Amino acid sequence: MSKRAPLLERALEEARGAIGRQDDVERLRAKLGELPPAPVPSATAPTSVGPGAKLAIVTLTGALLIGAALLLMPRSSMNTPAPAHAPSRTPVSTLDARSAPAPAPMPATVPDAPSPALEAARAPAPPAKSAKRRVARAAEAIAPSHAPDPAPAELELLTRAHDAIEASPQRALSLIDDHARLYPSGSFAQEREALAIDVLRKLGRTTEARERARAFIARFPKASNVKHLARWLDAPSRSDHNEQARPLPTP
Amino acid sequence: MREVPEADAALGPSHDFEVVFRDMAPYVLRVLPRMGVRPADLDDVAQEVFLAVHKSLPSFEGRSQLRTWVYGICIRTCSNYRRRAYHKHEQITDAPVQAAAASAGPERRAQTQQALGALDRVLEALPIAQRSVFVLHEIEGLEMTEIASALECSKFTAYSRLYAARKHVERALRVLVPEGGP
Repeated sequence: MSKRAPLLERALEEARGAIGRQDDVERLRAKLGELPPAPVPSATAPTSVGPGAKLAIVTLTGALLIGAALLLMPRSSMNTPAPAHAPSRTPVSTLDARSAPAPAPMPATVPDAPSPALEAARAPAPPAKSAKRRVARAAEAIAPSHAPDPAPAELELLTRAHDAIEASPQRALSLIDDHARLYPSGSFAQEREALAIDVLRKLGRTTEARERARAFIARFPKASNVKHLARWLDAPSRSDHNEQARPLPTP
Repeated sequence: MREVPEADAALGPSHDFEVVFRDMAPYVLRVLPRMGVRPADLDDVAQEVFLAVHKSLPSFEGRSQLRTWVYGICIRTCSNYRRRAYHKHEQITDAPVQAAAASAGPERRAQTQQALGALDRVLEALPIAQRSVFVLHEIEGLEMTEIASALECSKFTAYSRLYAARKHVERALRVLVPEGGP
């Protein structure tokens, strides 16, 4: 990973220090005033739009977006996640919420114009199915972007490796090796190395995984997963083919 | 050392709004300005965030970390805020807030203001999706997995946005702030 500009580091340090002061917090609390008891979530809360109608709307929106994506996107770009600048709360992007907040209880009648607070808190639908994920990805791909993807080919290769981990870790490792050969110091070198450690563990090649973990710590000492890796390295080593890998946190 | 909220560690399975508010409010007040909320609107937008938190807290199921969930609400609220400002044709750049600098000396305060001002101007030029990832990772200290969860995108999409944002910010800061300053 490239060394960061000192100027950026200084600006970020200042930004990190700018947490709200106690008197600002107190002023905000006073502004909120007495809050009514929060509604108790209920699975049977009545809504003005029935679940069947909601499903139909979601399905129709999804179908329209898939169509739009297929019409507008070159085939090759569908595999590369593109930076999007559209707000993440489009009806479609909410379909891919795997660990997003649970739905807020709906009022008995839905107002014509929901308040901003309601809008912000409106929760995504339940965990997505694969078709819905494709819709979300298509919507992401057609979202307009101001900045070009920094390293599309590099990212695509690593994404393919990531996607192959479960079905074929050996294939994933081969793609990771390709990435290391083509982009030894690329923008995603850190993520590649973290991925390689996980895949090696998955394949039971613990000795190699440990060597790679040590190299990772030496190369990326500030990565957020370093302490987890160090803890793993400190733990008593078990023999190769005997350690069922639990994925280590990635940076 | 970056200060991060302890919401999840401090709370049990049922979340009390007052505890969540006390734990998260300083960080909500930190993140909103970096997401483009101008000082004059900060209280209103923060209020919006916590009204949304209050409304939805009972149905928070813990599928993500609480702080991730609150940050997600912040980002969506900021998106709405920016959209509203856009429709009103408002320019939403402004002088940066001086929360951290208030207790420092005048010189330090001026440096802080200059650095934050430059950073905010640079961030203002970023698409909201890239800005969100950059701010949540570089300033709020969220891990990329959490960010992907908060923004409802894949981890690799989050990474690509982060790298695009970093590249833009580094380049633009060099232009905006001459060598030696702040």
